[in-house]
Amino acid sequence: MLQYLVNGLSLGAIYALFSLGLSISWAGLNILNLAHGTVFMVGALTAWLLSEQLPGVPFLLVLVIAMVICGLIGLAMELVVFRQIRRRTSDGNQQTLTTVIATVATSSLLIAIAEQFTGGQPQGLSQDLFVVSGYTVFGIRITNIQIAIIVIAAVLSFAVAWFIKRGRQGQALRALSVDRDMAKLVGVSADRLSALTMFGAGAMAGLAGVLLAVQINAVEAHMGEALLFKAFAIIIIAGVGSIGATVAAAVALALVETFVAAYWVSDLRDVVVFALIILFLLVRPQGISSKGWQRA
Amino acid sequence: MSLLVLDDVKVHYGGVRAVDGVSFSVEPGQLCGMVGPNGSGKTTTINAITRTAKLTSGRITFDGTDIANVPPFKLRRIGLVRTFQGIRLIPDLTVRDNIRLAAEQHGHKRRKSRAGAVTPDAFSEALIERFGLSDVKNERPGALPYGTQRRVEIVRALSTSPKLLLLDEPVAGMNHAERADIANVLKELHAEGLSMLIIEHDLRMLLNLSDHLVVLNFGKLLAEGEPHATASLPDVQRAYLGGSIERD
Amino acid sequence: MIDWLAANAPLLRNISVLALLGYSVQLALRAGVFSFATVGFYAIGGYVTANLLKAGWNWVAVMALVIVVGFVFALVISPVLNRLRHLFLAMATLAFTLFIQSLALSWATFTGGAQGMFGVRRVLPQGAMIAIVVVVVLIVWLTQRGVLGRATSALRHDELLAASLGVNVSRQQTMAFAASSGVGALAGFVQVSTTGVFGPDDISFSTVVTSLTVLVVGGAIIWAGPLVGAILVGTLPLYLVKAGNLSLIIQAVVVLAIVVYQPEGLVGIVKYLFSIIRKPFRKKPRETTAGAPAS
Ligand SMILES: Nc1ncnc2c1ncn2[C@@H]1O[C@H](COP(=O)(O)OP(=O)(O)OP(=O)(O)O)[C@@H](O)[C@H]1O
Ligand SMILES: [Mg+2]
Repeated sequence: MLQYLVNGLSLGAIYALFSLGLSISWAGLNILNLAHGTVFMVGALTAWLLSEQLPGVPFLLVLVIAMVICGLIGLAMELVVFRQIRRRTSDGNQQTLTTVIATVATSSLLIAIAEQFTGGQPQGLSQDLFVVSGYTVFGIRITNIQIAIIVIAAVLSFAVAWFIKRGRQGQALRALSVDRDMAKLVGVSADRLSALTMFGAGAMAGLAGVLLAVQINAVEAHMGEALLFKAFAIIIIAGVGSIGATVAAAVALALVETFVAAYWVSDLRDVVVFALIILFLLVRPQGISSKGWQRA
Repeated sequence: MSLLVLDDVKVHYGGVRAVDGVSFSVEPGQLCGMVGPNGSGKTTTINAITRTAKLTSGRITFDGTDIANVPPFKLRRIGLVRTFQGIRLIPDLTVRDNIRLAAEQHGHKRRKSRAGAVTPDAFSEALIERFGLSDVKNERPGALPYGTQRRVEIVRALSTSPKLLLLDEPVAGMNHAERADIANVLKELHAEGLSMLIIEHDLRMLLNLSDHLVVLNFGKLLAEGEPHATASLPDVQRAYLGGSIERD
Repeated sequence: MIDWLAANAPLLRNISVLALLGYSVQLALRAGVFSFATVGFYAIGGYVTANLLKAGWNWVAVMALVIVVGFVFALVISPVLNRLRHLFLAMATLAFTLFIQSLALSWATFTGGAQGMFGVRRVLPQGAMIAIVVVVVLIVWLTQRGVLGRATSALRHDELLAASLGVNVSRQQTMAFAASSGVGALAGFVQVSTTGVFGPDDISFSTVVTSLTVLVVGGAIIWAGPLVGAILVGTLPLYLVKAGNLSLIIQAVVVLAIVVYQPEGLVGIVKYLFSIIRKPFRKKPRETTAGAPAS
């Protein structure tokens, strides 16, 4: 029982790291980034490539490099794709739709590149990148990677929440989310802020990718897609852009899944997740209301 | 019986009391002007009338029916139509199609007219002709001068054969000649007996046109009544213009 | 002609399915419904077809039933979707598709699980397949003009305005979604009844990518767009074989460039070129476009 709690918690931590970036870029920039799962995969892929090419590379370095690479991908998407679309279309609907489709196209590009490396096959991660060792506390087995995941996710969630609430840039981002043109008038640098947000979201997805790859010891070009589904459920439950609720929903969802798989039928996990999605879509009065700082 | 009655209408957005207990009415055939400083709740009032904004409390009746019972898309069927503060023309459609779009949604549904009835196409065509848009009817609206776009919007609203026309700043951003143009159009429509509620910052124009003036400030009704008298009330002068209203 | 059709059967089948997927997406998008449910309905159509054909049903009956299933299913979930706008709708419908994918894997008695369904009778005659596509194109073309077409344009650009002019927004969007779903399911039917196989690979995320690619390459809004897109996406890989491994990357870059820089797709480019060519022959330029005085 408690064992499942620990497993669920570490899965929830991954979900949280992943969903936060998706949620913030949506709330702040009105972008539903369907390539987010692919960026996550690139993080895992980077770890795999580094550990293959440079045996014995320190794990911390791998983490940092993966985060920077994924952050840069996010940045590149903002500069080369989103910003260009924003320049070209003023019609709001059109812009939103074009941007979503562009993220799908970006995703297929990243997957095509990734498959050059993986050969389209799932790849195992070298064991000595991170030596997983388990401890048994009060009869519960917990591994060092699970501890790392939970701690990193907790620290980052607090950092992000603080940044949005108190940080100067975070406040500017909230202004941006309410009215992009108005925010520009009061001196918010919309372009720089968008770039920063996309970099941060990418870096966090990459981080989650490395951590999950180490935990499940596998890398695969399509590994981000299942996570996207979970992140959707989390956002629907938590509302767009609220940090605390997103983290809570992530952990709750992971726990539900873990318990369903443990005590019921493993195959029913996604059915339960989808049922939750429908349920929350139905009970929310305005479809999905969004709390606080973001557009509905 | 009044055509439109607002009874203690409130629209609150969280803590923002955009409209906070406004009551007034528009009589049949009346041209009612509405003024007020920026952010005083004028647009929100029209949004409430057309059910674009949710009422926090209060009641709005149009032609005897409580509009809360009418789905937004049916409002034009009962004769209530509006324009928006920003230009909202469909860029893909030509001027003519923008107008036809409105004309054909209801009322003249049948393309083959019964004897004597006007088809939507013929009706649109007649309006296009009458309001001097024939030259541009096959153009897309995007490239047209601002004043012309505004005019298309008004004609589009008229093509629904409204009982009450709600106009949100119909001459904002226009040059002098364009303003005079639109003012003439409005005067003409008024003379034909069309009821209108017009939000406008150009007080001088409203004083010329309207039979009744409503002044909003901070979401509340500051004053209403005969236009010139209302505009020269000290409260209105202070709130609206910092004290100087030139009369024509 | 007949010989050519017979010789290119796999290509034509491929193009037909791609076109139907593209039209399914277009039917929703052009009415302002950000639906990514096409592949989900494609999966439903495919698996239903596979099961019924295996059970010995007549293909015409199967086709009719598949379309009805797509329609009804769409109408059942539309009350949920009607409460959602834009990105929320995109997300919810994509969640639906991802869910159907996951279900296809785990509900093995109906779907054959990871192996999928195979050995289904390939009963759809080529002529009927082409007729199906033609009918769909015709319907899309007809509904893009006239009263319905204008209302659709309005919905796509500005729902609030459309409603204020009397367009029944939620009903029209529900119908657009149902049509999109029906055509998506029909695509599944065509795929199964011409190839005899259907499995998880057919409905993966890359099919979502492909259906959108078909749409944006051809032109997202213009009626001919998905057809042109399907022909390109169907034939291009044959020519890109030389590029080997890089072909997928090249394809992805091209698509991305089109999305960002040429949102109207290829049909848009062609139209633009035509308008340049035709311009000098149009009636004389006017000098007074400004509004003439009233009355
Ligand atoms: N959807 C909304 N959400 C939150 N606040 C709103 C919303 N719409 C309007 N407001 C606020 O309500 C107040 C009244 O706005 P409204 O647009 O009605 O003013 P207005 O009189 O039309 O001003 P203007 O002359 O500038 O057009 C403003 O403070 C505005 O910020
Ligand atoms: Mg206003």
